[in-house]
Amino acid sequence: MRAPYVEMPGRLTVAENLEVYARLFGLRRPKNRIAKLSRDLDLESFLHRPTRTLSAGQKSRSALAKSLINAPELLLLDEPTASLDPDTADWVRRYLETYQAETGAAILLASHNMPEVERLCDDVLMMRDGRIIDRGAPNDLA
Amino acid sequence: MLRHYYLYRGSWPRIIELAYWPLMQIFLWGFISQFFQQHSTLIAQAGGLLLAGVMLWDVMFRGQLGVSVSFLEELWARNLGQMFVSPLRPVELAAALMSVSLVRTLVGLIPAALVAWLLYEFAITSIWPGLIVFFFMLLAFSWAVGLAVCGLLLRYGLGAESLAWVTVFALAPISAVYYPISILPEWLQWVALATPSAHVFEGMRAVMLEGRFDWGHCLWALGLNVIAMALAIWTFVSAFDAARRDGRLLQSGE
Repeated sequence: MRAPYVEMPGRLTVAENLEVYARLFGLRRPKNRIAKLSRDLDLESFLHRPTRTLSAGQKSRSALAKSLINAPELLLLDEPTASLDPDTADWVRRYLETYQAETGAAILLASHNMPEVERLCDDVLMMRDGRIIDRGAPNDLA
Repeated sequence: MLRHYYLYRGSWPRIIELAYWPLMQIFLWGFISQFFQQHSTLIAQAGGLLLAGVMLWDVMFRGQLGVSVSFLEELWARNLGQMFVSPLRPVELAAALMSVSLVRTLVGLIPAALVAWLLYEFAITSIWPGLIVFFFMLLAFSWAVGLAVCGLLLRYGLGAESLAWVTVFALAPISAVYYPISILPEWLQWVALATPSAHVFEGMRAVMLEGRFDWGHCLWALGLNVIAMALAIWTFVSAFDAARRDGRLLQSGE
């Protein structure tokens, strides 16, 4: 099964991948950042395993770590919990809530999962055929 | 560079492959040249002409593969989209691909040069200091070819993967690696003289057969390399811009 995120190179370990991306973003001490993310996202048990050997849930957490490697102020997520089992999906949602609360980052999330949208989003744009057909707080939308 | 260092560190077959073909070429052509030396006074005088040709052609071949295959690794891993959400610029990726190519080429060439020296008593350093010029002229041309191939891969996707392996061979006959340009039909000589590689191999023969460094061929190779590199960078950057505009960076592995 393919992880819902764009996968990272499978032959490199999770730590190697994260270091490569950290350096692409110009981080000065990537190992410190990787250590923090691996604690926060519970990656430590598979941090040094080739990415191709991970389960879908582990790949999703690794990919989430990659997207957070430069501590972005704006996070773009395309169906971040698609294809995940309910426990992992719930874990990802909880982490995103925590990250947003701690950093004040804006998160732009695309999802077909309406309970997820109601839980995570303050402002919702409903789209059909590439056009916005409705907008508002989750509770205000029919 | 770091990404490829990790890739090779974790893959022995990839490392062995770097040196395997150059070594096989040296074994094969070493024995052939030994046979010729026993039966041909011209080749006997020329000494390691064939071996030098083999090794320098391998610089061209390995150099191009070093760029194209390293880029293919990114396509196979569907990694272009990941990389280009970072501040990485296309020219920086091109510079990294060329750096990886330099390392790969040296890893392939050095064992081959050692075998040529130990088994056939041919030291590639016998064409010193021209060797440095020949090496970098061929490497620069191979990078230009490699970058142009990368541009085509961006344009046509993995359906054009075989271009990475076959393109450089199309240049072999007109590069006059093992024979002088004068052997070619006259119309083809003009085509050959439009490639930097043909000037390099003519220069190599001038050093080995006549004991002189031919500045004319050297300057032609330099000028043609500048043109080839400019065209290659334009091809690569144009293809990259089109791929980003059309959303093909994220679909590159499909």
